[in-house]
Amino acid sequence: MSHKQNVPGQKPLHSLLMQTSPIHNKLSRRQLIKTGIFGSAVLSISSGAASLSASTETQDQPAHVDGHPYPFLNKDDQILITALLPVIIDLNWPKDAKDQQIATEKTLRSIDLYITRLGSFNAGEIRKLFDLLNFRMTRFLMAGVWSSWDKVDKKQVDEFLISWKLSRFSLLTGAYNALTDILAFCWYSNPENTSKLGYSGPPEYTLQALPQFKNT
Amino acid sequence: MSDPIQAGIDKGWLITSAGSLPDKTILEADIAIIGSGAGGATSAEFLSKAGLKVIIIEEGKLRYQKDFKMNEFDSASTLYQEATSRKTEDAAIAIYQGRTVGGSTTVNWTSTFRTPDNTLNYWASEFGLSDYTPEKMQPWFKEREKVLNMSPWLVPPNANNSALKKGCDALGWSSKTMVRNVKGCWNLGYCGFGCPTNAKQSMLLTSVPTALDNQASLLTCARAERFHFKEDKITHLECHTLDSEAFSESGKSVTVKAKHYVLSAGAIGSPAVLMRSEAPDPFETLGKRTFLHPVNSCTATMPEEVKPYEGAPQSVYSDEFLWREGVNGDMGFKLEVSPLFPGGLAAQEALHGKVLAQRLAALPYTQSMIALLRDGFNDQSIGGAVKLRSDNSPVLDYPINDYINAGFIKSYLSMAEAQFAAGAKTVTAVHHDAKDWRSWSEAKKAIKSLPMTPLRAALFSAHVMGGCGMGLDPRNSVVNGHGEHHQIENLNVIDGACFPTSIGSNPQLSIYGLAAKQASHLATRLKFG
Repeated sequence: MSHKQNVPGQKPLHSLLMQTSPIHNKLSRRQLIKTGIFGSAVLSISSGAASLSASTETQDQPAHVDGHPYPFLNKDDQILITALLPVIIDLNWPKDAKDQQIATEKTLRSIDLYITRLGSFNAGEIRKLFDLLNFRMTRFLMAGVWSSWDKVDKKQVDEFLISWKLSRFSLLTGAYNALTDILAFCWYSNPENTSKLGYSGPPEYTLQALPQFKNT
Repeated sequence: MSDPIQAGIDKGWLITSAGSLPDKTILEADIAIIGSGAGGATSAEFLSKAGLKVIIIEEGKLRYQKDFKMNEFDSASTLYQEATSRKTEDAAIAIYQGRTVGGSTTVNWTSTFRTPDNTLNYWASEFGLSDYTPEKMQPWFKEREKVLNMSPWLVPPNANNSALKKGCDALGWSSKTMVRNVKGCWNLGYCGFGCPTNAKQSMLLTSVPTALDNQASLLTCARAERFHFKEDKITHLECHTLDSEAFSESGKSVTVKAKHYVLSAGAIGSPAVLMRSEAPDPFETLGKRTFLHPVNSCTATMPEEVKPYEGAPQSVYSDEFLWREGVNGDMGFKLEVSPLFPGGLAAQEALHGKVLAQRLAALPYTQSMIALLRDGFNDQSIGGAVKLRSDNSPVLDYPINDYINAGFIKSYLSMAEAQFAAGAKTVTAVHHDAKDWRSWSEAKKAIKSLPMTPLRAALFSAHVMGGCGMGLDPRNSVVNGHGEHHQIENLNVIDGACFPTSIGSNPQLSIYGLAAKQASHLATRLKFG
């Protein structure tokens, strides 16, 4: 099943960008760069379109999915991350449905906190990236995904991520690197998620011996 | 266990979080030092000892032992510039710099080297810096080594470092034991998270306290925005205040008036302050020649557990390839290892799915080799340029050309060869197109055809240098050998930002030695005219 079936006869822009075309060869590094943590020019343009049209599937409101306010992530962002996380974490993602829900909520909060600490410029870049992935037209053009993220299966998410990773277009690789870096960091930097992998935080005796762990 | 910072606060050190001051407060001092890292804190120590009234301005918050809980998320998101997401402009190289009291010395891995003789001699011959010969620098290094308790690490290296030694021994390559600046180190391995035991003799626990004991004051959570000038003199420094956690601007400002200013905001931050100030830059040298020691990496799966998150992060190094092609020939590189924690590994891989999950599952058996490329010694290695973004925050444009890429390919080869010689089962380059190679011959063939396309290789830097380079000739430098700005009368840049090239080894002692020398000179000049 291909996600392209939704719009017969059209090829998503991202699949074109994956090929080495004369246009790519002509675009110099200088022309392509714009400042940012993933070095994005195309992202700015596309997400500009997204914010102008102001029609992401749900509205840009602070969301309270699990009863907690999120200073950065809106509801669409949360749905997007909820779709991406199990695919990024894959084998290390919890098997049990309840555990998955807890893991999602905790990681969403870490991601939200992390982005608010990146500084306003970087947070702005991530806003553009998330908007681009949440607005149907840019999502289709850039990621090849037509349906909203809560209706996309894991295979499609994986295909989208691989297409950005393998893209000939370094901007998409940069966006892939930023997405996977932030999401995977926020998951794996929590020792609760890695004890089964052999790392469960600092040695127990240090927690007994060091003053910063004493509750006084 | 009493914490020296807490004890200092209790006895009345002058520390203020800028956000607690009324808007438009004016602070006065003899000397205003911007930055509390290796350059700024050392300057503060020397200038306050000379009896001058010093104020240190730091963008980060005062975080110390009570905050250092060996938690990867907390340290990454609170102690580093841009919460570890700082990157070069095209996002190809991740940049790790401290942003806290003590600067990068609070989060460095304690690796200590004197500036190599080759580097100092190159500065003397290429930039006229005859005061920086190895003989003239030796007393400054010696003095700092003593003050900061720098000595060879006599504890056996952890498995991660042992593998580097084993590989070098097997191949007949030189390797040595590192010098570290620690006192009573527990050998835990959390140096990069802020030392949890107060063993690391960082600026946070040495020069900053010495300066505070000498009545210096420390203004935290204050971002140096711009200098204001009258003719060729700075009249005052405008700072923006940050919230009490130092994450975002709080909309207020503080003015600092001083007779003299010392800029020690790092090799990206220092040029940025001058650029925001529209400081004179007649030869367009400001922010140029900014160097990174660009780092690439190979990871190996070893037959026995490595636990790359345990023990002193760096204790062995190899300079086998650092000068082999001559000082200014093909790019030389230093071989070291890097500690790996789960979050850091995931972030550096920037992968998803089964591949990433398997890499993480293999973490306890993973050995991580890194190569630091020595940039700035060849016409084809001119470094990057600091620029201001639309919001006036700085970014480094560091183009990676064929000369640098050739260095990466060579160093991938050396790393993989050493890892197989150390007994690795598989080796891979941290690169999107690298597979798990099962033998040295397989690796060798694959690495030679590894595409160095932008953003496919994971590249890093923890050593940002230059941008306000020293030299006799204003046409290729920003400051003179004393760190005095060529055009601005009452400004010194005392920092790694002064380096006219990269160092060729981890730079903390190079900065301490340079800062001690320059700050002593400045103290004499200001006291006796």
